[in-house]
Amino acid sequence: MDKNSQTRAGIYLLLVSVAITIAIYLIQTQLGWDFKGTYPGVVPLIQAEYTFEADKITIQLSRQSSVPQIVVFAYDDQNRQVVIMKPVYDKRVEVFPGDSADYLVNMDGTKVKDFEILKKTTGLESQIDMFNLIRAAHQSGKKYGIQECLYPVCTICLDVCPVVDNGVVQVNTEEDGRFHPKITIGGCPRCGMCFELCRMKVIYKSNLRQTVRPEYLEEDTGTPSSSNNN
Amino acid sequence: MKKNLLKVNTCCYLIIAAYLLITVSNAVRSGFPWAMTCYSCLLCRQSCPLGIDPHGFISAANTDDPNLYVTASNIRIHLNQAIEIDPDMQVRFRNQPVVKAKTALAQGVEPEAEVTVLKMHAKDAASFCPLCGNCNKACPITLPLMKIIEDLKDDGEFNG
Repeated sequence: MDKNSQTRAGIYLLLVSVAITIAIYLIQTQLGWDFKGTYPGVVPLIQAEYTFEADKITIQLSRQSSVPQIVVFAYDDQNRQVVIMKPVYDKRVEVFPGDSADYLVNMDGTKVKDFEILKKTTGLESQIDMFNLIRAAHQSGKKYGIQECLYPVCTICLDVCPVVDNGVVQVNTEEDGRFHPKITIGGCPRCGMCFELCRMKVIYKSNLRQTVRPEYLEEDTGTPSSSNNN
Repeated sequence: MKKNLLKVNTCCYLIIAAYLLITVSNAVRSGFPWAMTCYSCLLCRQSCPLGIDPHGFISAANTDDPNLYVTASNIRIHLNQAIEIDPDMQVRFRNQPVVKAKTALAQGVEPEAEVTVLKMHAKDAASFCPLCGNCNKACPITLPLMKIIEDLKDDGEFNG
């Protein structure tokens, strides 16, 4: 093979490599195909402003929530997180008198002991009025607020993470009493299971080049109206 | 006499066999024949934070009917959304009696009012399910209930 042929072959090889690289880049970015090898990201904590009226509590969210239902909670006298799941319409959640709690989380300090589903069957539920509980928490300085994560009822990110024992995925209790996941990138094997299976979309897909923010975060109005009053 | 009894027995046997055949074929058609092994302990019913009765999904798979009504007691939506999904969905506004969504609207409940769902189609309940997996964990014979829900979530049909 003469020198010219070798040069041509080298150029062809280079062109093929470039074409393959461009094709892979387009497939990943344009078609949005999921590949193993991307890091998970966690949505920032959602903020809210509370308005207390005689017949309802209105919660105005700082941004669109990740899913159409959001967790509204308040802590009771026994330091249990009592929770109701409410729908979000126009970044607004309303709690009415008579809204019964859905489940409660028994806490040992900031650690979760267990949880209890309150509505076991229709008509056979232990009723905790969330409207009264949130008002009581507001007046007595106890923690109350909103969260997007369903922990500890949903632990799917912890269940599927192959290196959960190394603390790559943790769900912490924030100072304001809500649960929010935390990802430590170091040690993450990038298997993608956590963001593939997080149905509350609190954990989402990111990549090494830039964080791929979910659409609802792009619509963020910017500064939150105020932090919650916990 | 004996011949008559034999005929009656044969008829009964054929009816039972036909019933079993229809039941099995429905479960197979839905793509979840293992749903027939559920022995209705209803432990899963006590595990859903949204108050959805996961056993309803089993029944839906057994009958190959995604429109089967299932209990879903903690799902709260606006009345107009309930009507949009299914006007016959059973809802309750505040402490009023349980009625169909279209009846609630006729009774004067505002379309923007928040109602609590009591019963809805299995396919609609699946669309609200957060797939937390609690029903799976509660099942004593580890039936993969979430597979049925995920299937219904996709297009509201059983695809197996």
